[in-house]
Amino acid sequence: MIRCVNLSKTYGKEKSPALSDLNIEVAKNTVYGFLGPNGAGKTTTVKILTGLMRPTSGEFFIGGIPNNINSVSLRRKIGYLGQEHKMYGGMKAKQLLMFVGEIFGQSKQERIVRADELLAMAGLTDAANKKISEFSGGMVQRLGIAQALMGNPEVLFLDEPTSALDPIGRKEVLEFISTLRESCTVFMSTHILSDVERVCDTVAILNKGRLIVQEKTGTLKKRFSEKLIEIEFTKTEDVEIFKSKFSKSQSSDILKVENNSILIHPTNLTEDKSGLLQIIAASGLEIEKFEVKSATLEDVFVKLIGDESHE
Amino acid sequence: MNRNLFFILLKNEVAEQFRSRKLIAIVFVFLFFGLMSPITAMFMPEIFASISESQNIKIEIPDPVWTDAVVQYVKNMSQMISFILIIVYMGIIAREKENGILVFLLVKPVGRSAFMLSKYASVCIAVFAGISASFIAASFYTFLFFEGFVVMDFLLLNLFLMLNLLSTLFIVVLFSSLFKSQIIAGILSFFVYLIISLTSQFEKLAEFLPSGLLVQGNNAISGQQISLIPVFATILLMAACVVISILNFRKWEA
Repeated sequence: MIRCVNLSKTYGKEKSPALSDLNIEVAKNTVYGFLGPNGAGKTTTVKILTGLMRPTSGEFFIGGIPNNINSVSLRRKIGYLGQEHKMYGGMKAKQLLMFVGEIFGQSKQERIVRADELLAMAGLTDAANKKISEFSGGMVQRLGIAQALMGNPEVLFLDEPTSALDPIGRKEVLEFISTLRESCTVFMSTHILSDVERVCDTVAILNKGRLIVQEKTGTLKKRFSEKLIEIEFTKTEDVEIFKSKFSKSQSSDILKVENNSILIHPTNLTEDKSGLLQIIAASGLEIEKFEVKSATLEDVFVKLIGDESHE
Repeated sequence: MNRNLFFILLKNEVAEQFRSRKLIAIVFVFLFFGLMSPITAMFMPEIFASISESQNIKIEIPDPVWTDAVVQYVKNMSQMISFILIIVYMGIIAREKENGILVFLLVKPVGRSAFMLSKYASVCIAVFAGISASFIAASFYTFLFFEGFVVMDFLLLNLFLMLNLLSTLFIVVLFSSLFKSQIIAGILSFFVYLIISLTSQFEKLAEFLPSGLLVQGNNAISGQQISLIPVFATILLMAACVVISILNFRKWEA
């Protein structure tokens, strides 16, 4: 549904590109998670794919058709919700959807039916005649997605759709997004890993403008790490003692150190498990928890981004 | 260009100006100056007389005539109103770039030329609504207070005035489309407005600029011959604003 071929973007006189030779393919009727830390080039990619920005080089296709910045035919196929999107605050929810439908050339009857359908899908039927300026953050975001769907797009682009929301708002929006794959392809850029894990079929990880990996979410988790060991120490100073002993004796990697916890990626689970327990016992360290667990997408992300930084 | 889309965008722009009370404020300001000009012309001599009496100074002021009201009207319109229009409309596009409304529209099947033309058309509607209100109010009170008022001459003056105000607004829209900051757009618009206003001191030069329209307006009132050169020159300037802003806006990136 979406294909990027060597897509690159360099801003002005900057030396390092914001996006470098991006090659991705997004299958039809899937939710595609475009993941990366802040400044990785996610928003740049979305802006190029929605025709809001020109790439420095490379090309992209939506539904097999090549596109450019002033392509009205591209914009007939897509819906977009930006990171800091703004809608007419003085308008009422239904009024906004009717206006968007008018832009897409829908008849009045079509617009009414579609607007009512989308308001119901977004859980905003009761707020149809309420001013947008009076909406909560979650309601604005759901209306933002609804307006992006008003033109029956083939592809829906969502740029950080949950980053400004509270946990309840996030849950509502993610549930809404997961219902969309039946009607369109969703391209969602985010830095929130749990969101990707929850709704995305495929994930691409971007760092410093370069694509690190593109894989089905489940496969990626399996491929990069099947089991991890998490140790939680009672005292903070024990973490440092453990780290110094660990680096001398183990071939495994420390993935993450957070407060009193250490996350380890073992090369050989059985051997490393006993080796780690020996270090703890020999050094007299007190632990709260020693757990062998399955890797989350966050663990894979940390490992991949970490590997990139070391290169 | 999709004509239907242009009207959809224009309808939305006018409705948005109405919702934000901008349009109402503009019409009110025009109406205020339309009312105040004949009232000021009529009662100013009496006010001066009462002040001079209290100060024991004798000032001879001739009885006001309808052209005094019109002179006052032209001054208010060409100076105060122009300044207010610059302030109100300097963000017409720049503010939408700043707050993201522009992106909301441009990711939809909206042609950039249609978008830009709808902005220009919306300011024409605002000025037309405003000057209609001020014309009716000023005509009514000038007719009421003074003798010999020629409404057709005053109408002709208002047409020159409207074109003058529109030229200022087209410059504002142009700068608002060129820059991301509405403050910069406003400052530059005011600077250009000031330069054009100063050229009215040079009759030959003013004939080829919007400031010449005010001279022709005065000619209409005083029964002198009217030259259409400033009209054509102003229309040319306005067309240049439209073309430059469209060409530049086609290249704009979010």
